[in-house]
Amino acid sequence: MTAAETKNPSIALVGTPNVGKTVVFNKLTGLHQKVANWPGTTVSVKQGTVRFNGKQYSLVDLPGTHALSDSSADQIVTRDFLLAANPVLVINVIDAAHIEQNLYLTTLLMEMGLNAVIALNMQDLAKSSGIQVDAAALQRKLGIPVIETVAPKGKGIAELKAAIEDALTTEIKTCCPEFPSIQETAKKVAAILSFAHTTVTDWHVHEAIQDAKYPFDLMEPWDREKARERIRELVQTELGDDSVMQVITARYEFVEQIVAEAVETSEALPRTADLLDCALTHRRLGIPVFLAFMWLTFDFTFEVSTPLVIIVEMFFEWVAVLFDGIDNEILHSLLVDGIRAGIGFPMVFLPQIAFMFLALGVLEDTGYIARAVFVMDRWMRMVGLTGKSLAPMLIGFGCNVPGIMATRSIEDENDRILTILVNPFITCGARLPVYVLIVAAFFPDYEAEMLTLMYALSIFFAAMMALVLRKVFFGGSSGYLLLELPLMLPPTLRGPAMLSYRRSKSFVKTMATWIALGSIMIWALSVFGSSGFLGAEALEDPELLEKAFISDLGHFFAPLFSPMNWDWRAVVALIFGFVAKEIVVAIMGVLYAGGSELSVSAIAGNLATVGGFTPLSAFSFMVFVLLYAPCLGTIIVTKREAGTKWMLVSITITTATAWIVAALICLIGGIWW
Amino acid sequence: MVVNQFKIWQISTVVACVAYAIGCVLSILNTFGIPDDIGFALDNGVAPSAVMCLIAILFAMGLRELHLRQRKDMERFVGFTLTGVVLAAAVSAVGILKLLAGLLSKYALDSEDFEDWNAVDEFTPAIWLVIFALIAFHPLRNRAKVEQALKYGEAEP
Repeated sequence: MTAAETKNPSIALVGTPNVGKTVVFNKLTGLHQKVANWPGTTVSVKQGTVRFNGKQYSLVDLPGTHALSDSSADQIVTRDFLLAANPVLVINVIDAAHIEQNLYLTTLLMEMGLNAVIALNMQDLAKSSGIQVDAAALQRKLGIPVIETVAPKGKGIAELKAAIEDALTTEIKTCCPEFPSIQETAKKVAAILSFAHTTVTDWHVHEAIQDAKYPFDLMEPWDREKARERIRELVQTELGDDSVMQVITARYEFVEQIVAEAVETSEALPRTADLLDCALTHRRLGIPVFLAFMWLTFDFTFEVSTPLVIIVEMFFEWVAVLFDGIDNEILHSLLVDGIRAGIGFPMVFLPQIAFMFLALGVLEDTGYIARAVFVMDRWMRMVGLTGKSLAPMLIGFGCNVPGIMATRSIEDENDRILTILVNPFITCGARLPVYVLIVAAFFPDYEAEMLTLMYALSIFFAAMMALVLRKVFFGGSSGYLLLELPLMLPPTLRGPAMLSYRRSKSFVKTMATWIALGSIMIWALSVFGSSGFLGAEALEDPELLEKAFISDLGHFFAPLFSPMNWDWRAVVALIFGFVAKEIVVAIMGVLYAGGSELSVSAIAGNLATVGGFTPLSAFSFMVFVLLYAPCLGTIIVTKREAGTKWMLVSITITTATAWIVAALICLIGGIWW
Repeated sequence: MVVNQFKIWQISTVVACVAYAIGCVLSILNTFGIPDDIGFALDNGVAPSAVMCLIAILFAMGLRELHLRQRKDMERFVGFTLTGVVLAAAVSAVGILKLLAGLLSKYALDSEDFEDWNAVDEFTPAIWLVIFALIAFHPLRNRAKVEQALKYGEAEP
């Protein structure tokens, strides 16, 4: 995003990962952007509108970052915005409990000479950890207004707004911190840069000392090479080989001085909630505890949502009765068998999607997900992934599209591409309805266990594929995980509810667009044949349906799946599932309802009687849906993030793996069952 | 004072650990259809048995740390025991919610799928064993006592 893209003057929200920037953003804008208690939630720039002093501003929530170098996409995005978009104010959100790590970024902002306000967040948690930050002393030392906030509770937000209004009126630029150890060299470097640079800040100078590329980018090519060479020679003469370390050390010395005067640390006992870490991140018990929480999540999803599922089923039965008065047979069939069955049947699974994300939201809110990342890191590295890959993969459980976008926080390009390629193996929420339907039909006594198995298989195949891809395409080994564990907090009601609402809304939106169109198309292909309109009975009479266009389509593709021996109706559902995974269950709703009531149990029954599915073939179908080509949205975002070559690799490996594994399940399983 | 506190923790955690271990064993046996009728409903399936086993192990790990009585070990005792309590409470809460969902489906919505459903069959140890976990949690509720024990744990003979 550039300044030209924002109509209003912009205010940037900056901070290290997981300091509560997005909470502050939501409090200031009144928006409901996704918030999570683990690092890397904000991977792209988010924008909202705010009014201060009667004037409108664009508030921009930038990705969390510890530095502003070229080492990862999130750092580049933040740095480029701060330098190119020329924000009128920067709100630097600081975690009071980890102030030393956070003030390094503040130092960089000061070097850039930006107009800033500091929101000293999480003061309550800092105090409970024995850390007393004197906001007034901090303000005095930094020369920047410091406002104490506890953003989730809304504390200090009014004061922060007042400070922002003051800062916008006075526009006091921050003064650059002094680094005595490199001061003389910095002056000379600044003089060289000034020849060809219109705006040279101390940050440009210090980056140039470190031989970073950015300070030279705005120069003419000839000036660039000449200036860079002169600075290299100067730095080599005056600071020697370790100029990078000298700049970083100078910055940390400055931070240490501030901390020494503004922060008091007493030897406090650990917070009771933090004591849970010894079990949650335990070498041997960590994974069983993780699996137990996952099983509980699915048990809750499946069983507790039942009354709502029944209500949705009853609603769509009532809708069918509503249409009984329509005399026109084609219109009646379109409304009842096409739109109602196509949209209504997947909607039956809406409560389960809402409940699953509610439960996952609770785990997220408490900070447990970051512990899961930590526990899994050892295993992730064994298969060639980095622990940093787990955050995108966990997001992928909701939807693969933001999951792939979240890989922007991975510095190493090979690790990033690898994580993009394995992300489609992570089962997204859209595939959940297919599992629920099959499990209800063929494994009714082991619903939560089967769902846990599907999610475990998803992780297993992602891991195996990472292992293979690492060896085939990338080589080398994955990087190490540097993860700052967020504090364990009691879950709020708002966080999980918002996550659940957002995913449910996305599901309903897909239903109302893609799935509605797809259902109408499938209905038309099912009631029309070469002889014209076959009548609504075609959907109830398998022999009549054989004369419909849909049957030709199904029989055309069915040989591709002959080792699995799936019904041609299921094959049609899979083919259309390339567009969106939600459509698989929508088509099954249209083709397997067969005039019976629109309930999971009724359609599940038809899968066995009409579709000829056995528990084995049904299981292989579930595994195929889990593994095969990602939806159109995921394919597009893969192309955008990794390029055409890796997009084609992604489609090929997912579909080939799905076919081979499903065929093996049927062939090997068929020996025993 | 501190010694008494240790004893209380020890006994309450032992009780919780044994209760969940018995619950786990009964659940495993029930999965294989061994006890015919023992007067109350039992959990069925590998997953509930495994989770109860895990809770018992967490309490046992806590006890082991308590036995060592070093300050760091005291923190680990609280950590393991609290994790066991949190997991037990989560299992019980989900069980109660399932029970309520069943009641709603059967009596309010009159669902055919719930014709043979019986609330008593759903009231399994996974729900009521939480009482023992809460007994283990009760002494830990007093933050001051925990802090006192953590502070002086090292000095304790």
